[in-house]
Amino acid sequence: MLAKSRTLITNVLLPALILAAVTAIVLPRYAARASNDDASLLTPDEMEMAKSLTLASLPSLSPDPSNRFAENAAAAELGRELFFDTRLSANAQIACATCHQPGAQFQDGLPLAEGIDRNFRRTMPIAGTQWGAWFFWDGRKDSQWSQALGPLENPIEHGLTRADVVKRVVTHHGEAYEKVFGELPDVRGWPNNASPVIAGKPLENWQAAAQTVRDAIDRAFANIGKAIAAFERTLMPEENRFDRFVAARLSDSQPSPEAELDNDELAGFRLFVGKAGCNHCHSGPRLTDDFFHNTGVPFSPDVQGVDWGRAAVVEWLANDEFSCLGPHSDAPADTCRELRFMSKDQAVFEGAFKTPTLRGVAERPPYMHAGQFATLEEVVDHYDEAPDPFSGLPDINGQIVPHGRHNETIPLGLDVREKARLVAFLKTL
Amino acid sequence: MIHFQSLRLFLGVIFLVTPLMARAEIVDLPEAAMTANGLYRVELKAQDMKMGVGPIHVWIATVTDKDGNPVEGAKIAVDGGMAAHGHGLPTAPEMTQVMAPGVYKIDGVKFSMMGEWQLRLKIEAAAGTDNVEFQFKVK
Repeated sequence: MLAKSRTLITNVLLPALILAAVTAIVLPRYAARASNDDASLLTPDEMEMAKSLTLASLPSLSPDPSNRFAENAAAAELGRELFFDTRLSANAQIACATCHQPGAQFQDGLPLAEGIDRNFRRTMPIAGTQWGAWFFWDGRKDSQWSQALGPLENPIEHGLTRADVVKRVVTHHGEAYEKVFGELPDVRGWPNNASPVIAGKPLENWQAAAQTVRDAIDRAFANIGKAIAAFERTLMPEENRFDRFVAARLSDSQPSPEAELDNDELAGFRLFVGKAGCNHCHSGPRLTDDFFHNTGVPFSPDVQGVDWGRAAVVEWLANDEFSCLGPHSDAPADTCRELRFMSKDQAVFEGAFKTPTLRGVAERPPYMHAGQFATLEEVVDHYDEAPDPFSGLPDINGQIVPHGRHNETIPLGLDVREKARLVAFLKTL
Repeated sequence: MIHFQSLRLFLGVIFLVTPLMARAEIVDLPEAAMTANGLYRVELKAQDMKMGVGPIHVWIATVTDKDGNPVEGAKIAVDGGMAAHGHGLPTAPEMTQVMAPGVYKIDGVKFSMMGEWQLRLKIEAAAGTDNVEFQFKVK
């Protein structure tokens, strides 16, 4: 009797119980998923898309052939010192770190950067840009080292000339410079206040200098950029909550409570890669396509005139002496493929700005190239509406003439709940 | 009691292993197409079909006439983009080399994201000028 009942239990009841349990657990969850009620499950396609937006998809960092000091630890240390040195400015108060603040994702939280004077664009974060192809909002530079040189000579940023930058580095960082670059420039006889790109006295002084002196200044100036870039190359993108959530799901473990995404956030993710199409540009692990788009962002009331973005610089870029193809690049010309094959069609780039990363985006308002929006809610409202501010411009007779629609995006038709979910997802990045 | 979370993860893993192992690659690309006016037959493929998203890379176009003879001395202009997203190619590819009679190297192609892309070739040769479009997915 006992044996018989045991057989009954093991052969019939137990399997039946297990089947019932599994059915009770599995079927409703499939049914729920099919009817889209259980938002916490991601389909394989969604999971694949999710992974593509996380650090797990970040490729190993390619070398920068244009900067042979890119991986040099002593160069990075010198670059770090230069990055924080306010003496490299006209008023001895502005360092790179003044706007690119380490405690704030290397940006400043201001709509328009404040250097020697107020800029007409917002400070961009730095981490992860070592994977990028173009630098500044308009991509007018094609390497980190070349980018780093721009602000030093910009009258509204550091406000120096390249001759003065090099002299100050020789004075204050001579030993470190010599250690990295081998030879300290002999600056005796060099002009003060001399630069080929600043009209007036700096240009006059530059033109009065001997060619050998100009070459020596340019070479040392490029080296300074290469040291700063070696430091910036060490600033890695930080893991965000979405990274942790996706990594946990992929590794068959349970996300920590902190890394769990709630159903609104997951619904926001689906909108991000679906109806709202944010990932058309904010793609890949850095959440940028490294390209330039006009998304109809309104003109800033605090900036005079129209900012034409990339259209204004594509021709100029081909002649930049500090580009990958310039004389101070360490790259063989055939490796400068981004520059070689860049599109120079101004019509495509009118009012187009680089897609910024969305990593850490919730912690660094305001948004857009001139800080036009104070909140993520305003950003989402903007994309939902998809206006074309360029349509209101009068015809101009300059090199760039407004034509057609100047907004690549189209109205999204999001309701209030969808907008809130999209914002909720953005906060996980 | 089976834990909901671990069961869900278990099921997830089964479904996910295959797609996640794959690198982004070019799929659904027709092997060949006739130009719009029927002047040329064009075979188009990426030198490495697994270049995926990001790197600038090379495509190869093989152009023959209606009788299957290689079309030599062609000038090929390239454009394209993502029609569904209203944007063009992120680069300006060029025909940079004749690799063999009728075989042309197109360098400078870059895809900035996964999704459906088009490449359009404008072919100028002795028989005249004609266009062809290829549509495919990067996934």
